[in-house]
Amino acid sequence: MSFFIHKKEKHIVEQIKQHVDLVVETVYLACKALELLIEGKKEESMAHTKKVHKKEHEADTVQREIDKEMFGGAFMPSIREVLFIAVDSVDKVANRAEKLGDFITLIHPDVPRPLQDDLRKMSKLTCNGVKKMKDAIYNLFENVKQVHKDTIEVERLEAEVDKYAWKALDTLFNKLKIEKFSERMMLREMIIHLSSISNKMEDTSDKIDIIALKLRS
Amino acid sequence: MFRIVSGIYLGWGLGANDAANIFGTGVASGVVRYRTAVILTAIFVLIGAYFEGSKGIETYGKLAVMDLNTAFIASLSAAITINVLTIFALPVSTSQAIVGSIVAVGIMSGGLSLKIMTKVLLSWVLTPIGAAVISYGLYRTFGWLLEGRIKNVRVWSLLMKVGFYAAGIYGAYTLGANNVANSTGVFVKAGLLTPTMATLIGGLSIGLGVLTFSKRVMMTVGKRITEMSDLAALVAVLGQAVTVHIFTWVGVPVSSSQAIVGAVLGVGLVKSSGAVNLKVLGNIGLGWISTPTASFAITFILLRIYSMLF
Repeated sequence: MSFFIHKKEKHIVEQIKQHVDLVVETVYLACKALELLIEGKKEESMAHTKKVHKKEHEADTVQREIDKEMFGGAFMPSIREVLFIAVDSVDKVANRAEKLGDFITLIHPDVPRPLQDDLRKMSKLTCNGVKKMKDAIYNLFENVKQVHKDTIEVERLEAEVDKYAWKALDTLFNKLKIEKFSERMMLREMIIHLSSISNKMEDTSDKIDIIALKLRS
Repeated sequence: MFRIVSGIYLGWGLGANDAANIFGTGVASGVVRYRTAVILTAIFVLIGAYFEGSKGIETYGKLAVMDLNTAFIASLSAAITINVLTIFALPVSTSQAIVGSIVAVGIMSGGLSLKIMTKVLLSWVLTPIGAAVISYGLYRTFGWLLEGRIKNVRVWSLLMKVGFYAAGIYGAYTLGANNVANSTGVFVKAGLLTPTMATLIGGLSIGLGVLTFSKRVMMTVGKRITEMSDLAALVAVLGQAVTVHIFTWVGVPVSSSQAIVGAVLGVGLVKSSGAVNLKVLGNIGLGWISTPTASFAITFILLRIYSMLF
């Protein structure tokens, strides 16, 4: 009997891992699109944003499968509920990356040189953060004791992203000479889109932490 | 032989109501499928009744002297009591209903054993208390055993699911072993059935109740218990089963519903001393009085009518 119970959950665990892998790829692609935009390679950047869309859609499809199977009775109810919320939250990270991709596709602004370094750092930290979020999800199913360390790291990286976002906004509004206010607002929106990815990762890490805590209490 | 119908009906009602205490949590939370739960319950109720059901039957046999007709009236009165109290939404226990009826027969025929009566009453009082103490101890022990040893979410879910199946199967076994006497026990003393036949017919009738009419109660009771943590819910079911099994060895059929209430209370006490709900305790107390009193009165009236007619 336990073999069958185990088999059902094993499949869902594989799907959850696949889902977070797709979310990581979505974020990586969005960051790559941003990098290309910074370098001025707008056509290439826009080609990447299409890949972002595709990956996000794949992640959505896997998430729907997970939801369907989880409500079929996998895991204990207390875990199932928070796991469902956590998976949904992970998916929202991909949605935020997609929004950044949409922005790049539609607006693709020129990025002034003084902003480039900060945006690159934010992008790198975001990629590191999503990697740690993935580790936390994997560790829920492998080594729960490690989860809290992963989520703490996600929070630390999010704080770093916020720091650079603030610095970039300060540069944008106080140090840069941009004639059109609309251009300034567009760049501001891009910075906010980028930092919102790590904000969502932090939300997700809180939810992952709750699951780990449930096993300890 | 038609007189057994009242016993079968009692067993059927018992199965329909008490299966909820065993697999209710598992079914309501989606861990165990309803069909699987009722099949397992029916099978293990019958096994429990067959192997350990005779002790309770023996106790009822010693409680009062009965013939075939008085046994039928006692059984019928208990069934009527269950129905009437359920309609009025009052706490009800088959064990307490049948004992109320047997006592009425015993008083009217002058063959009531006060020693057995005291043993039965003491067991009723000790059921929720014992379940609370056992669950408290089990929860503390499991907590200590599992602390820091759960490697991941899958291990936890697997452990809990296997636990729910195991506790459910054990609970079904103890329900059959303990409560089968409520269904057909009175007919053994009356000479209509042998103990083995009584356990088989009783076990089958309880199983029939589980299979045909237990879903609604199972979902209602199960959802109430599911509000607890996984481990607490599992311990409550296990604590109830252990308690009912202990009283099977003592030889007194007890209420599994009152045992689960006590077990839930015991688990609650681990985390907070404020877990004692006076309303719940009041309901148990009310059950101790209302059920046997009602079945006593109904039996008394039916016996009077019977003696006037025949």
